[in-house]
Order: sequence, then C-alpha cells, then structure tokens
Amino acid sequence: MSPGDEPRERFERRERHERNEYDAYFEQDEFDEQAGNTNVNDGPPHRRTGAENEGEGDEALRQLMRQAVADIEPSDGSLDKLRRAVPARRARKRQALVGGIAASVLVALAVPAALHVANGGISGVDPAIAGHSEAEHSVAGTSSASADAGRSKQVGGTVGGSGGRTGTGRTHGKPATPSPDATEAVTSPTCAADELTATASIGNPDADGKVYGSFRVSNISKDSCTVDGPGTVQTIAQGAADATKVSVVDHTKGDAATGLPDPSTEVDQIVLKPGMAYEIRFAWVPSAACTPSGGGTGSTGGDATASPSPSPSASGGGSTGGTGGTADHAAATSTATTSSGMSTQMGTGTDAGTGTGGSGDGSVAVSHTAEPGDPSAAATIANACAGTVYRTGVLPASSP
Amino acid sequence: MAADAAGTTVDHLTETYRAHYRSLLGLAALLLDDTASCEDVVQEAFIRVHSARKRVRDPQKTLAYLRQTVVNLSRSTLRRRILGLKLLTKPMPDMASAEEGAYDLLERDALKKALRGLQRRQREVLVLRYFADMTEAQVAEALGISLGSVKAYGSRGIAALRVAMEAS
Repeated sequence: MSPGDEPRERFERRERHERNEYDAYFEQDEFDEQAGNTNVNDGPPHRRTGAENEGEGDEALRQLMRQAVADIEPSDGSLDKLRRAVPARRARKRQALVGGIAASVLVALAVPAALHVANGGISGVDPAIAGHSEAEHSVAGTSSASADAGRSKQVGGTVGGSGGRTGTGRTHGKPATPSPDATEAVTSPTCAADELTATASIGNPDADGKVYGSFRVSNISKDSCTVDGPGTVQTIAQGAADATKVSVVDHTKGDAATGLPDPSTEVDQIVLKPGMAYEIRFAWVPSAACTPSGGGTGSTGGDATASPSPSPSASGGGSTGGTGGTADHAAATSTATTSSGMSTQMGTGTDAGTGTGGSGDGSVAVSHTAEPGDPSAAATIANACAGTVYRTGVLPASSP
Repeated sequence: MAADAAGTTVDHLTETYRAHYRSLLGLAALLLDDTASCEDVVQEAFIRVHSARKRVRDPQKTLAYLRQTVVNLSRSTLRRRILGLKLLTKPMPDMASAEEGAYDLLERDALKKALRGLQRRQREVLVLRYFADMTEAQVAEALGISLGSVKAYGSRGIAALRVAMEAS
C-alpha cells in the first residue's frame, strides 16, 4: 500500500455518499452554464449541503495532486538557463521592435521607389542594378557598425531585401538609445558621492591614433544604490594642446569612435550592488597632429627618417629625433622609447621645427565626474593636441 | 553585459524562481502529460513574464501572471501535440523509452491518468483550484470564463475524476 492510497480512498469514499447530490446539481446546471445564471453561481441549497462535507474531499484531492507531482524536480541549471534567457529574450524583443520600425520605414520608401522603377522602364533604370547598389549600401552599414554585428546584420538584411535606400546604421540606432531596461522600478536609493570610487584606464593608440579608455565607477558601500545619470566628462588641454580644438561629444552610432560599444547598450540608470561597477568609456580621436611649437630640428628629424628601424631601442643617434618626432605624432603613447619607431615616419613631415625637443608635447587630460558630483578620475592622453573625445553613457561593467 | 543591465532583474527572477518554480512545474505536470514539456513550458513562462516585466508592475501579481502563462502554454502545447498526433499516422515507438524514472512514477499515478481523461477545461479548473489553491474567482479570471462555468466545470470534473479513479 503506497502512501498515496489513503487520501485516494478518502476521496473516493466521499464520492459514494454524494454522487447523487452532484448529479442532481449538474442536471440543473447543465442548462445554466452558458447563461451564467446568478442563482447557479450563488449555489442552489443542495450544493451547500455538499459543501459541508467538502472540506475532507477537497483536502484529499489537494493531497493527491501534490503527491502526483511530488517527484518532479527542476532540472539542473534551469535557473542559470533562465538567467541567460531572460535578457536575451528582452534584447530580441527590442530588436524585433526596432527591426519592425526600420522595416516599415523601408517599405514606405521602397514601395514608391519600386513603383517609380516599374513605371519608368524607359529611363533605363535596371532593377537588378538598383538592387545591387542597395546591397552594397547595407554592407557598408554593417561594417561601420561592427560593434553590434548581430543587430546590424538583421537590419542590413532587411535593407538588401526590400531595396530601401536609407543608411541603415542610423535608422535603427536611434530608437534603441533609451534602453527599456532602465525604466524598471528601482528601489535602491541614489548613490551618494562617498559611496562610489572611480578609476581611469587608458589603452594604447591604434593605427589611426585613436586612443580608447574607460572610467570605472564602483560602489564601495555596503548597500545597493542607484546611479541615474552619466556624469560629466571634461578635458583639460595641457602643454601644446589647444583647448579650443579639443571637444567632448556623446558617442553615437556611426561616429568616428568605432571601437566604443553601441549606444543602445547604455542605460539611463543602474543599480549598483555592493562591489558592482559601471563604466563610462571614451575614445580620443585626433583631428590634427600637434603643431610643432618646438619640435626636433629638421636635421634630426631627417636622421630619424633615414633609419626607419622598427626596434624601439633606436635611440642611439636618433634620440633627439625621437623626442622631436613625438610632438608631431598625433597620439603616440608616452615615452620616446616606445614611440621612436613610429615617430620616424613622421619626422619628415616637420620642416619648421627649431628649439628644444619635447617642449612641443601636448597632452589632453580626460576626467570623469560621477553623477553625484564626486568621485572623479582622470586619464591623460599623451601627444594629443587637437581632437575629439567621444564618450559613452553608463555601461554596465561586465565583471567586477 | 545586458545580463547585469539591471541588478533588480536578476534578483527578482531568482526570487520568483525559488518561490514558485517547483509548484509551477507541478501545475504544468498536472495539465500536461510529460515532464519534458513541463519544464519547457515553465521555462518559457518565466522568460515571457520576466522579459515583459514592465507590464507586471505589482510583484504580487507575478505568480498570477506566471500561472496564467503556464496554463496558456500548456494549452497550446497540448493543441500542438494533438495536431502532431493527427499528422503522424502511428505513435513513435521510442517515445516511452526516452522517459525515465520520475516519469514512470507519473505514468503510474492514478490521479494523473484520471486527470488526463477529463475534458481540458475541467482539468484546468481542478488543477488551478486544488493544486494551485486559487479561489473560484481567481480561476475564472485566469481561464477567462465565468464564475458559474468554473463551478460547473469544477464539480463535474470532480465527479468525473472520482468515476475514473474508481474504475482504475
């Protein structure tokens, strides 16, 4: 006899006593079910008689049901699966929405265009060629938005298919900016300045002289708190850098700072649990090389060009050339030793330099102040004179 | 990165998971007939409710939304399966062998078998009423039928269930 048998018997026993009552009830009910007759809803008198005994039978049925499913256990890792799946679904929904908007815009544009092509056959517009050029269009859009390959691919596909003519990168980037996640009800209080700490980090310049870096703001208090703004990013031009030629702009999709994450990943506010952090990332994109107010001499520059040695220890006779050269190079990192290899390429570019090497160095300090007004962190971009700082909003930091 | 987009999301998810996941599995198991789909249905319900969480303003309502979604998904799963059975000329032979352990137990459970014999509506009413401990009014809301229908389906379901269980 299994443990399930006892409630089952109780359940069935009751049935033998009461079936007649139930049957009587159903017979009446049969007619009234669809009409939703209130008399029936309130229950006829004999139903109440049944209800007196209902306690036991109901309880038995409850037990039976629980027993029936008592052995079912969640499979391993189902919570982990959910943790991954929920944000993924949310992102997909967002994409579908954005994709839908983009698609309808494109259809709106494509229908008149198609009609035009259909009507103007004589004008020599070959639909196949038109389609081809559109396809290229979408490819260009995809590559410029490499940071968000998944999404741009989707939209790119739409463009290729429907033959619209808008630049894809922009159309879908815009509606996504206000992240729906950010509007979640948040209970944590706003972070105070003393609950946060900020650090800055900066990378090496890439081939175009762009320098990427980030500010990381962590919650060092014991409680969760909310940061509801992106804070400020400022620059200070130092040395030969020209303050009027240095600006800070918000990063948008398709701008020069291609290494920054898609603006759609920014959030308006973020809840920081103790130890959690968010990031503000930035990119320095030089607009011009430093004007050599006092670079290396022409001759040393020439020397340096003559020996385009890739080794960083080319400092023997070219050490002055190295320092002189750095002033010309838009975004070489810090010291002459590391940049001498590169500076040789630029040496010839300067022919006006006189005076002491090194005085022409310019740098730009980029500082970020978190939303509460404090803390701040700063990073210095060496060999920078004119250019633009592209900054992101609040980005959830991937790992502590 | 999006995973941590909002700290509260994960907390809320974990919380509801701990509190309700098992009972929702049970709910699905009683409405459906195999454990594998139960897990799928409940997972899908969690994903749907949590990714549309903006609509679920009141955290008290999360469970109600979850249950409702489980019921709806179970229905469409059954419908799909019935359709699939109609399309397949004969049942797949390995279906049963793929299911093990706890499964067999379920198969043997007389109540489950009896429940399966009921009309879908009757089964839904009984399961929500007695397993999920919902009031008749809540059941009516969840199933989108009138209170009177809930009562009728419920009592008729109980009667049918008793007959089925006595017969077994």
